[in-house]
Amino acid sequence: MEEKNNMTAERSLEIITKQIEQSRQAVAKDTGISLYVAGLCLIAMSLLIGLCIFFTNNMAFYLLYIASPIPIYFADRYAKRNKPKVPASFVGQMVDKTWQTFGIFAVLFFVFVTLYNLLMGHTESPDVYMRLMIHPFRIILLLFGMAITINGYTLKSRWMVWCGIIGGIGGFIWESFYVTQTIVGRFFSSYINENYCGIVNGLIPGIIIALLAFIGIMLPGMMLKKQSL
Amino acid sequence: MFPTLDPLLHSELRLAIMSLLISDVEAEFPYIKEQTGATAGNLSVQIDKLAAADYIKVEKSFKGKKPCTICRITPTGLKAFEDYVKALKSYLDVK
Repeated sequence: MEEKNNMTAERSLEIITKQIEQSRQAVAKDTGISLYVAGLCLIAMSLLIGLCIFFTNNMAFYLLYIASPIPIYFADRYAKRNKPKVPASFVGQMVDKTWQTFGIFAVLFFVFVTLYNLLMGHTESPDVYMRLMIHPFRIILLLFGMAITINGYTLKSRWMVWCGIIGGIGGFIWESFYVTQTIVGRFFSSYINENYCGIVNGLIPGIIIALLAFIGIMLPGMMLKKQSL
Repeated sequence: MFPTLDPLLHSELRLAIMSLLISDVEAEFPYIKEQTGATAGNLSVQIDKLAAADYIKVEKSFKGKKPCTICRITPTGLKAFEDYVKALKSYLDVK
């Protein structure tokens, strides 16, 4: 852009409009890349954690979700290497904050439930424990659905709003009525069968989280990237 | 009677910088350079002019070993930009 002082009013307005639009697109693309990378990492992690639980039957692998911001951070930095830092837009900040809020609530709730279940498991009899035990997955799915819905409103995407509502509420109902356990139970005669436990506690939750991460994080990222082209 | 257009903003590059900062609030020098397509030298001169008029605030720091220049719009700059757009509107309304 050259230094010109003899512009017409139309040209001035054209520069303002062009620059604002160009900046909006750059910011949207940057947010899109971040969401795309975060979605991809979360899908990979959820499937990996699901497989680890399936093969080892060790629920401690769930704790790896707490470390999920680390690969996301490094993958994001790698995806944006050699690119100038793009300022945050209001929409981008809203999307970021929504996922941050979801992350804080989901992790704290998960830690609380794990400790609570451990305590109850040690202090109460198995019968009482089975009644007192909290299943964290259904609440996390509800929170996930809420975050997707809020992002759908922020990004003005009606299908995302509906995906969030159906995914969140549907997932909550699905888990509350033990649909996974019922379906998988039909294929395995015993509830203490290793494959049953691995599928119910590892594979299915991993696939559900991967699916929600695809709809709620990766697809919006692709949409934002596409909008900015 | 037409209102006079702010001569400091009535320049392609300075107007582009201000438009960029209006939407993004703050931006780093390489980002402004990429978005405006200006040369580093020319951009630097125009940023200095805007900073001298207190339209923008320039913050120089280091990111590791690399120098980092961040530009932010000031309330004076915001007001000047609003007045400039208002003046532009009056020109366009007549036409």
